[in-house]
Amino acid sequence: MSAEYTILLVEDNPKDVFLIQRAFRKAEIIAQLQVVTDGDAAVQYLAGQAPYHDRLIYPLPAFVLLDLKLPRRSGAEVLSWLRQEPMLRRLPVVILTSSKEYRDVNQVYDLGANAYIVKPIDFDRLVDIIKTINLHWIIYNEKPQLGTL
Amino acid sequence: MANPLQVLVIDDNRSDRALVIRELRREFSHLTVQEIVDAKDFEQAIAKGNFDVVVTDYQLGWSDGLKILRTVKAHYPRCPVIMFTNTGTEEIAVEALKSGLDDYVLKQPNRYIRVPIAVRVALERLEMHQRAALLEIRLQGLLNQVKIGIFRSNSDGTLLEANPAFLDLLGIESPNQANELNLLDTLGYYKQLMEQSPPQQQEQEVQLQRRNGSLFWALLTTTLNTVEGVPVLDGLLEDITERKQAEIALQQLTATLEMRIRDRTAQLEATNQALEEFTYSVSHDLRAPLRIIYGFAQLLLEDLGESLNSEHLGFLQRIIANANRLDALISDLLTYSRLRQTDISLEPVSLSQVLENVLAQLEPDIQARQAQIYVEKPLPVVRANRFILIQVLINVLANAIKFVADKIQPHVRIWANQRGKYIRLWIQDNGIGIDVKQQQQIFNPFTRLHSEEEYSGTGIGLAIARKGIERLGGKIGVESQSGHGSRFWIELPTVMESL
Repeated sequence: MSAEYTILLVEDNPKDVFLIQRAFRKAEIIAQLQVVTDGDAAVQYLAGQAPYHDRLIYPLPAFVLLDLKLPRRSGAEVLSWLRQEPMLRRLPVVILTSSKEYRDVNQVYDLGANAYIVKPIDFDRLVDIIKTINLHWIIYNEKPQLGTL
Repeated sequence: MANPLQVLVIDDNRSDRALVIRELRREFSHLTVQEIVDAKDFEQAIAKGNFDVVVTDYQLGWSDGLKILRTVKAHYPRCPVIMFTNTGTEEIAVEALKSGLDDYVLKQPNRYIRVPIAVRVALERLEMHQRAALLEIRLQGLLNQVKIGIFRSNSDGTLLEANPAFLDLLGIESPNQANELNLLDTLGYYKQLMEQSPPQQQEQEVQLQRRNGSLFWALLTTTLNTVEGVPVLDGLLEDITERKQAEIALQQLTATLEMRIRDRTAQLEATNQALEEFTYSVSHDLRAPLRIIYGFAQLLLEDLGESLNSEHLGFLQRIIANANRLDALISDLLTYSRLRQTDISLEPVSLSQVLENVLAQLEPDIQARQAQIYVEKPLPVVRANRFILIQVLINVLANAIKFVADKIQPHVRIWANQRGKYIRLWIQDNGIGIDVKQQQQIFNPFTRLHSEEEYSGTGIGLAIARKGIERLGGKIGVESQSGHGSRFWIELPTVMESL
């Protein structure tokens, strides 16, 4: 699979990972989907720390699909870390979670989330959402410059 | 007079006696006279005592009027004695009056007539004394018997008199003790009344100390009076300790009860909240595995759908359909439990705008049932929370469209009217109606009146509606008859300005 863009999925539930991967395939998106399963791994990946130091294998993503309930470091913690990192702070982050709590929604927007999407129960809707995200963040959207101050 | 008046006439002179008796008879029609002429007669008469009044001369051969007087008074202190004499001196008269003589008449020819008058006056005085004495005895008896303390004090606060009950109340033996120990602030009460305008009377509950130091509650009634030009304080003192204790006990009981109710309410609220939080987190956590079941069932259908036989296809579709139902149920449960947790703000909300939103959200159902919705505009503005009101109306309206007999086109009419400070919004349908007996239950969670085959649903919709309306400070209700449609109403506070 040769992909121009990489998308980082931070999701601890392997079944959700599987469904999201399926949805990407069904949506016929050719971006590379990298998966990490906890908050610490997400930070290591984005910071280019071991075992993710090789940017050729683990390129910086075009955006992050971030679950909120994660082991070790929560999605909100990952997000707030990211927004403090000078080289990464402009990276678009789409929250993809099962929580519809207003508290959570407001909190992560305050932390600098770019979008907040509740995982739908219907797989076909998940496919629609993935297509829309792809259109929005990959096709139409001008990507920010990373790695500059 | 029923009984004849019995008179002792004591005189050595026979004609004097006759004259006296004649005069007496003229005055008293019923009369018995004993004439006493010697010591023996007198002793017998005294021993018998059968006389009401004594008329005696002073100078007697066998005694004298003073001795007679003293003897009679010694035996019969109340018996009137009249001295009728021409031999007495002023000294004798004074001496006799001191010894209790009732009258002194000089024995002169024109004075005989005065003897019966003196007798009558003496008898009347006796009767008056007796009556007064009786009255005093009765009054004294009453004063002694009443449980209410009665007292009188003068303008410098000194206690002048008091009844036994008063002494009992304060545990003292005489009014003087009360003065010495200053058990009652009579001077203070006197001054209080002096400052008042007439009637100078007041009633107060006071806590007093007995001589032994123990305290008691009393109802004190004080009045300012004047006795022979001297101001005095008259007072009544009633022991109300028991009443006071009962009052205090009642207050304590009430306080305890209120506290227990508060505690219990707090407990119930906490339990309720814990339950709802539990519901929320369970519903929330149920969603993730449900999503997986649903998703993988869909993948199976996608991958194998064409190769499955119709039976297996049916199984798979049932899994998906039920996962869908479960999702709706979880959704409703989350909405229901979130209604409690959300902090809500009330603001003017246009019913027209809210209804537009609701109808837009229900559009798929309206289309599916070809429902006709009539809204009588304009609709007023109410004080509510927009999001909660939308939740409420979606649930009420969804029912209006759903619970309609097969092959009947749903007709829903919506209008509003003012009821005092409230706006009532009516939603009338041509549906299957609700039996009167079941109208109370339908607002409780999980109340379903129909099978899933007849009308699908979670049984939480109207519970959400009621909870939402309650959080908005409004009311919800229904008027319906089985088979004749339903008329639901919600009532919310009105807002004066229109949006």
